[in-house]
Amino acid sequence: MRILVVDDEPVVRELTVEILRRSGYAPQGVPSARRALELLDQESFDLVVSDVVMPEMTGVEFLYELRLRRPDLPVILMTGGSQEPERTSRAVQLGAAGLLYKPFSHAELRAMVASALERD
Amino acid sequence: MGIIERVATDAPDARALQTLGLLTRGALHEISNPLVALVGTAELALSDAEPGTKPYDRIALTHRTGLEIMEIVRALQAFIRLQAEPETELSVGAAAADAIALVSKVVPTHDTELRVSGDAVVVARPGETQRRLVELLIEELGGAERGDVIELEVRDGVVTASGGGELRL
Repeated sequence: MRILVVDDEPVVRELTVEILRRSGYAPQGVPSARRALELLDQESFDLVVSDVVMPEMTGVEFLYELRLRRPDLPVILMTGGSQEPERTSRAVQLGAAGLLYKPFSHAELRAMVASALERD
Repeated sequence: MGIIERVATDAPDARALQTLGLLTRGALHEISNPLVALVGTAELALSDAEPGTKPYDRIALTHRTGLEIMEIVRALQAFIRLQAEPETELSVGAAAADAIALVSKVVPTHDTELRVSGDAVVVARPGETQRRLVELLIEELGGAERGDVIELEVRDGVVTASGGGELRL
């Protein structure tokens, strides 16, 4: 299963990729939503895991764009959880497959990814 | 007059607390990425280390400590998220138990036991209810001695604390 990880924070991005790789998935990390959209136009992924608070394009704006291009692609949004209640409620409206509140544990990430892929 | 009432009637103190609240909210967000990195990296390193060795024990300690900080951050984040919840029918007993769990995580209780008895159902905003219950608990803790028991008794929408405080919902 190919998973696209989108986070402007390199440590979190690389760590998320490594956790998913060790869990048997084939993850790829990108630092921005724009780069993710470019990649999604060229390659196929089974799931997207994206941060919410990012410069240039937020995770929610990214989700909106994705819904237009790939309506069936499941998306998990990672959020700090205390700063952006409006953004996260918009994400739910747009059909995010899950909201993963930071800080999260490996087990929580794995469980949410497995659940999102199962539903798909 | 309790600690929170005193602060509320002192305008500069109240403004300072409001500012502190805004800073705390920002700090909780800013700390979440470093915590993901700390706990996540420790967990990866733990799976690479040899159990029974000193490096393993040190990484395990780092991991446990990170998880403890994570629990505090998550409890505060959940409190903030709850403030946006609309009015609903809720169990006061369950709300009091949640408030006790939050206070126990983030406030030094010095071996004071916090517990709840009874229950009632009210229509209220969950965030405001929890905030008022937390305030009551902090007031009670202010007057408690090490080893005391603070009990919140819930009856008919009124929460009575064993130290004399009362909250009408």
